[in-house]
Amino acid sequence: MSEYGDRHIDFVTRHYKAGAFDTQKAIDRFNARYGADKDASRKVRRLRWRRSVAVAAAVALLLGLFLYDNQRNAWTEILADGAKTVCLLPDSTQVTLADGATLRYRNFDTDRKVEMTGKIYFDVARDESRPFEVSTGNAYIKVLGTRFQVDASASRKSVTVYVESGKVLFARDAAEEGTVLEKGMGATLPDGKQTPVLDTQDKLNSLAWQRGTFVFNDTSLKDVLKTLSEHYKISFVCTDLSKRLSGEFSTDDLDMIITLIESALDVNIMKM
Amino acid sequence: MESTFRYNYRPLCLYALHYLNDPDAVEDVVQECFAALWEKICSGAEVANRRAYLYRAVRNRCLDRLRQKGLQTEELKPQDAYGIIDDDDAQERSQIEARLWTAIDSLPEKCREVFLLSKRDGLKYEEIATELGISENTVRNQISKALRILKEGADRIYSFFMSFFA
Repeated sequence: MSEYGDRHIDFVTRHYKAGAFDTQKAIDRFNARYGADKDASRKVRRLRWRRSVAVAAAVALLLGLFLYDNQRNAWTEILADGAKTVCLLPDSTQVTLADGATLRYRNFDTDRKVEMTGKIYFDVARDESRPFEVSTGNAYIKVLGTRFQVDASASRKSVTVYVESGKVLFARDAAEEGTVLEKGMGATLPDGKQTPVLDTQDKLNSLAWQRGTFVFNDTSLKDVLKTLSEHYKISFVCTDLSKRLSGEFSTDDLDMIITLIESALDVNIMKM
Repeated sequence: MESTFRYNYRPLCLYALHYLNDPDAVEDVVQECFAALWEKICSGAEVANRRAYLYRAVRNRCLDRLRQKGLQTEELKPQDAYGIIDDDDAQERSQIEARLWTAIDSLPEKCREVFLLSKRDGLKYEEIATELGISENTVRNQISKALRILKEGADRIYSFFMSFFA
């Protein structure tokens, strides 16, 4: 067996290229080509504004105007149903919706306003003249061009924003004074509070679902397992929680992560 | 479709690598095969075993590419670091090798760097030590650490597959 293992290792090592064969990238590439209209996991619906039929009785010119207005005011809604969904908005902003999240917008001609639920990662195309605005019903976020994540999942009873790069204004609503977040900062706005509270704990892995990797940097095994447990929604038992771990792990394969941690740190981990 | 992708993408890449020896070409081939499968499903055709379909498609496309380059019979066989292997073997190994690839991805950074310089790029311990400004002893330790992690990984994966097929 050992020799057999060597042949595997030699073959893989000889061809190994960092960053190649990235499953997540391949899926994104595939979705960009085929996911848009055909994939059952993503549904785009157009919701029409209800309008008085009486208007339609107006002269032809007015009718033309009405139809134009009607089209402009149509909602486009994106729903991630069953799987993570990546799509491009009309202004080239890329959004990654976690399973169950929704996003809708009306028109992107004069401003860029979206409404959302659930957890969404935004990579906003820069446009100084039109800020990008996100509402969750009980929180408001405004940016120029940056990468950030909003988690407004109903189960959390609070809205959390994490900024990967750039600057973000985070407030209760557009009229309130808010908190400005910069690169690497996160903040939480609990239900019923007026201003967001800055997060102090390490948020290194809050984007793991979007990136497809966990990053640990001298992290205690206790925190490592907490991160894994939140991500995969299962519990672990471990023989020694005091050891510390560094490295990057693909989120693809939990069993492999556990195997690696076990052999690197000489501990035993069991899934519950 | 996404889960089909998730479970099979890397193994298929490793499988194709036994034929093509070129990571970039491999990713294109595998991507094309997923596209072909997707179009087949969209057109209403039944694909009973997606994995078997994908492996067959990847093999055919790899052979097409090699023939286009004007290669002959013997050169169309899958290979590993030591020579020609048979196709069943390549299929079976791709599952294990995909996990080893993940394992290398996940090695501590310094450890991976030293390991690859030695085993992939063929540098001597002495050369690696000079290039990275570390002692030869550290080089030796990092490499044996990487090998230990990968071997344990391979053993476990192997016994996992064996118990799975038994």
